[in-house]
Amino acid sequence: MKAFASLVLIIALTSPALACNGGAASKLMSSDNSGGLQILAVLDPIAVSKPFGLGLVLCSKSGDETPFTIKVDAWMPRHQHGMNYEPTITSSAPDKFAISNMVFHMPGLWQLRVNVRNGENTKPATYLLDIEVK
Amino acid sequence: MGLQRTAGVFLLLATLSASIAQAELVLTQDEIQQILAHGPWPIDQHKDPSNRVSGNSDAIALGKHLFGDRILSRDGTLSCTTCHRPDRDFSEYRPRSLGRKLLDRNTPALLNLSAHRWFGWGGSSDNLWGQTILPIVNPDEMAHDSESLKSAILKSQYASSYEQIFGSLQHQPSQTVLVNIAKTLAAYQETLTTGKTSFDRFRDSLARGDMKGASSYPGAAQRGLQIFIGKGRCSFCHSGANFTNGEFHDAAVPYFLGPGRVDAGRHAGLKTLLQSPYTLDGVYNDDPLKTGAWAVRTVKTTHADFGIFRVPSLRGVAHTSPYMHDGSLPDLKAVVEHYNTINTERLHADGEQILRPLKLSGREKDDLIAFLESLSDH
Repeated sequence: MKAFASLVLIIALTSPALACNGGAASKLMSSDNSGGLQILAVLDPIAVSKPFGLGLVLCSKSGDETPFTIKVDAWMPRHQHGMNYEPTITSSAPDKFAISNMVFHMPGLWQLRVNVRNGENTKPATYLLDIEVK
Repeated sequence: MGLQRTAGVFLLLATLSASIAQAELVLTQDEIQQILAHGPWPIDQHKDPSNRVSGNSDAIALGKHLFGDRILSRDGTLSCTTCHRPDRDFSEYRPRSLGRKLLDRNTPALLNLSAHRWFGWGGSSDNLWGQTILPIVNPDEMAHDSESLKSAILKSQYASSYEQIFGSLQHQPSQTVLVNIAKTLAAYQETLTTGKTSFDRFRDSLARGDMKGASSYPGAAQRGLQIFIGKGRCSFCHSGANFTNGEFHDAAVPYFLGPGRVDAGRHAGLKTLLQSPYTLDGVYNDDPLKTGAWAVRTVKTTHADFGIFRVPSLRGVAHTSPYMHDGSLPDLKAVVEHYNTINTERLHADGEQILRPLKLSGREKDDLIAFLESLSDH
């Protein structure tokens, strides 16, 4: 049991992904082509049709300091529509972004979509997070 | 939306009198949470920071007088109350407003406006005073320009009241006078609010866990409410305490006005908005922080905006017939029937997929109307 716990600790300390810290309320976004990059989303409380914000923490395995560029949007897959406003993106560090003016104008399932490009010559990767809004 | 009868259900018994058949309704915890989201009411009233005379009693009094005075039309034939009739919750009985000619849209009610993000059926303004300017200067409505309005106010009994609030009228640019007049009218319109309804009392009882109090809400309205938040899918758009999400949707109401003419709805509203000097992002906003200007700065324009219209509040809805942006549905029965048998061919082919025929029974339609009426007994 001790050996197992030690193994978990070693993995935790050596894994770049786990070194990435978005806080207890952060949620890991999913991606089919992450290429070693993980994204944690930290959501403000969401009320229908009210603007809210979120934070994004990008965690790269390679330690590559090429600046990321991101695009953020959201979509209601069951209703087939997105948001009515363009989110405002600000960066406080190369791997940290604050997103404001997000508005989910209907209750139901929304899919947060973050499109990330690491440098000019790489293929962008899409990250998703399902959010149920009541 | 399916109903899962969980352990946390509440049984509400309407036992108003022995002569009325007992109505019972079982609400899930999820349904109760949805109902609570339609309140509390009334919402807190805040001064509009973009309007420095918001909440100013002198401005409200002047705005009220001007609202009912034909001085606001260039030829002295129309006042705001010509279309926004106080005895009709500031709407009117005509399907489409009659200005200097027959207009394209139904006169919207003017209640609880401070809760809005966008104004008008197409959302051509992001603030109340900016919206108020539009009919004053529309050639088909009151047909003033800023010079003619300033001249009319200068010669009127209102000149001294204006100057007590805003200073010398003679020396102000006419555009400033136009905006100031609109701000007094907005200050007055902000006072047009509705109180608690029987729905709100029901909702408050649920919030307190007072099932006895909740049971006084009529059974038909309870069942109609369950349709409203459930299989009717009405609360997707008519959400929150003001029963609107404040945004724009396709309700399958035709937008053809006649040969070669269409009402472009939000598409036209955005065009007007983005060219307007009277937005929260403009120089006439009195708020140095420009609170709320994020919306006009970031609003998207898409082809799906064409022919969609702002979701109206349902508070007071029983008093504001006829309905829809063109006033084409004469009463609540017609509105419910419209959604009950909605022609999805009229919806944008690549638009949002929310609406479908409800296929309600006769009793269910009556119940839904009973619920809507319970939003109007303030």
